[in-house]
Amino acid sequence: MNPTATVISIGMGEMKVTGDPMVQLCCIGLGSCIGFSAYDPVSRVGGMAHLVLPNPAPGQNGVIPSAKYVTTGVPLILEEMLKHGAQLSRLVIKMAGGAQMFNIPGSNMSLDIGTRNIEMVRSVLSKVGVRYVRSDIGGNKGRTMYLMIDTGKVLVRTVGQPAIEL
Amino acid sequence: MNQKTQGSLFDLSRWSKLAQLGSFNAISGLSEMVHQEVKINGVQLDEVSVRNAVSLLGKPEDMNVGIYLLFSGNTSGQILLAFRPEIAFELVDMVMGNPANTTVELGEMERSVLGEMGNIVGTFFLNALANQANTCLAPSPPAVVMDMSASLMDSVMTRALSESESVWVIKLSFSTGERELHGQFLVLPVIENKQGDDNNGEE
Repeated sequence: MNPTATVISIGMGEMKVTGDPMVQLCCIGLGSCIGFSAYDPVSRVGGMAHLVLPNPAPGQNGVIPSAKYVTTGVPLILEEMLKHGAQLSRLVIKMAGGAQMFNIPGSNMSLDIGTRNIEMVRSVLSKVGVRYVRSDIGGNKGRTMYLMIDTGKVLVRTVGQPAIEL
Repeated sequence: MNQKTQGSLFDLSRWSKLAQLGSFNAISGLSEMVHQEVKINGVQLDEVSVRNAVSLLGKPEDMNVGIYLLFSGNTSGQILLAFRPEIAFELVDMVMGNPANTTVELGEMERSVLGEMGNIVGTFFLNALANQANTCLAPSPPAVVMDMSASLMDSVMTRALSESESVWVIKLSFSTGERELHGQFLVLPVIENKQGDDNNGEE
């Protein structure tokens, strides 16, 4: 990690796309949310979204497209990447998170938003025709994810474990 | 913001009173369990935006022990009782009658003790609400987790935010006189009238 880089934290439901090599994007403390990163190694444009829920609730009309939902956030960040000069075919997609932090005995699967988020990312990427290359998803641990814009390197930190590179 | 949830069906003053009442009852339950007088430092009912949600328990990467329950009945919601790890360990020692600093990690027994603490605090809180509102509220079994505060809040808020862009949080801070045991008790009710809407619940 570049100690002189500016670290920009992406909050829940937010996203950021940049070509500034002195920036590191991060999602701190991902639980069931998904940290979604995209990087174009040629244009060196990178983006990160902190996706919260798979999709808007049924009947929730007039939802403003944002990174709160996977169904709106993934297309939105890909679109923003293209606006910044990235090309879809070159994108390196990685994701982290989607944990089930609280396992309530006897609860049903609808509570496992993490798994539903992961499935929805796969589904949306499949429709767009883009594949993610690496991920650190599921389980029951919180994660912090970093994307270094200068190199495209993605690191994931879990409490009590050394950081891993995706 | 979801106007159905936060608008006409939401009575802020009523919830404020219920929050106070439930919180005092919850703390009396905690006090009984740890055999110490526990003082309430503050009870607040706040509307918290997505942006500020992760800071409810402190710095995002600070470790916290969270005791988490869901509740359901005429209304539903989530309860999170959170402590810094060293406080949680000390509470375990107090409940078990151990000398201070005996507990240094969260094993099966320690999780069980903290889960029981969540049960008692949650049930005392819900009973006070239910009695006052003449309704029925039932807690789920507890889940006990130690992780980054942001990760705990991320999962709690995710569930709450499926309904709106912000959530109402009953935030209670408390401590014991001599041992300075501070903790956070968060209640995130889904504030809507469920009468005649029995198909809406997940639990």
